[in-house]
Amino acid sequence: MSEETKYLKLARAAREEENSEDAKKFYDMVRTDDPENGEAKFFYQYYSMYEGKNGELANRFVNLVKVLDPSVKFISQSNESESEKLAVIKAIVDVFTPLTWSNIRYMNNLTVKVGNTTEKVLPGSDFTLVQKSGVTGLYDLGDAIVKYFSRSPEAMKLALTPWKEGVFLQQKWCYILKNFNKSPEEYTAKIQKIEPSYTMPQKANWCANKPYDR
Amino acid sequence: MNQDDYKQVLKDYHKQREIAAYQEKRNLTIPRTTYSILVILFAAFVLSVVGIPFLVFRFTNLPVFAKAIAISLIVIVFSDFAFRYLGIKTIECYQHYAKEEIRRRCICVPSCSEYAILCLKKYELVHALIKIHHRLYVTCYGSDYIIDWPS
Repeated sequence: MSEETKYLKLARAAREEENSEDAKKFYDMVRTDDPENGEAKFFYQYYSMYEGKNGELANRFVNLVKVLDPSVKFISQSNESESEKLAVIKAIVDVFTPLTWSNIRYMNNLTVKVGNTTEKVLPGSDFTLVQKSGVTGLYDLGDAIVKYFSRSPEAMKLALTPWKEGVFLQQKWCYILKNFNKSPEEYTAKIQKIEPSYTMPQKANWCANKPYDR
Repeated sequence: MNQDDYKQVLKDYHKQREIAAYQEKRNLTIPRTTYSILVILFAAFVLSVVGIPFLVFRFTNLPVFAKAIAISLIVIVFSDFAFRYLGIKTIECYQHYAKEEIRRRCICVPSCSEYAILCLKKYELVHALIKIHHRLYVTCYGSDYIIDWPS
């Protein structure tokens, strides 16, 4: 067994045990040996996101979004079997899909008391950056899967999860993402090609003309 | 960065998505028979409000103040029950006929209309109305999902 394979197995075991420290360490070793290992590239960046100051979370998340496309590309070009490649893609989808919403939630929870009022620690620009890059990342992840695994119907189904989440979040945050360059209708059409029963979620209540009328 | 807090938020994600899926699939319908029941009930309510005082005055030998108290008690008890029942049926009509885009504006679980029905079943009329008003204009506010059962 080569060093790289050994470290990769150790990294996967650590990931399954939710031991982020060891997982990051072993993925870093794999990445150093083979810079074109897509799994290590993504998960190293993912575990790096957990470390550092809260104020840099948005930038670390943007860095994670940037490695999505190359990671999927490297995974598709690797020598592993098709089922192994799909398992890695599924792991990436499972890990990345909740991140945008969770980051915003986490950032919302960071508050400080100023006199009698509670204010958010992070600036509004950080929220917008995470929202925009997150939705872009979700769409791009689905696009990359479809682009590099176009022959696999199972991979096409995996692309649905990030696309659906992207459409859901874009509809939920329609006010912030109103001048966004990607349209939810376009991705709804893409989803409906694979899953015809899918319907686009409604826009959030605060996008309506009468927000609190019910 | 506090990793434990972040992991807790990640766990909440799946709960929130279940709620979102519930809201997406929510499609409450009521059988057609309910409308006829509604009409019968309304007629019964009107007849009773007029008929009970008439019967009390016409066929009892009580003094006038006793008659007035008896009528008031009967009307209060009956109208509490009747208004609550009518309210529930009216809300069910709203759930059936209102546009999805109006009904989806609610961000809570259970939805405001379901909450109103539960309140009307559980509490007296005035208490229920106060709770429904609080739910509509105070709790159901903002953009995040809220879980709020009548208690």
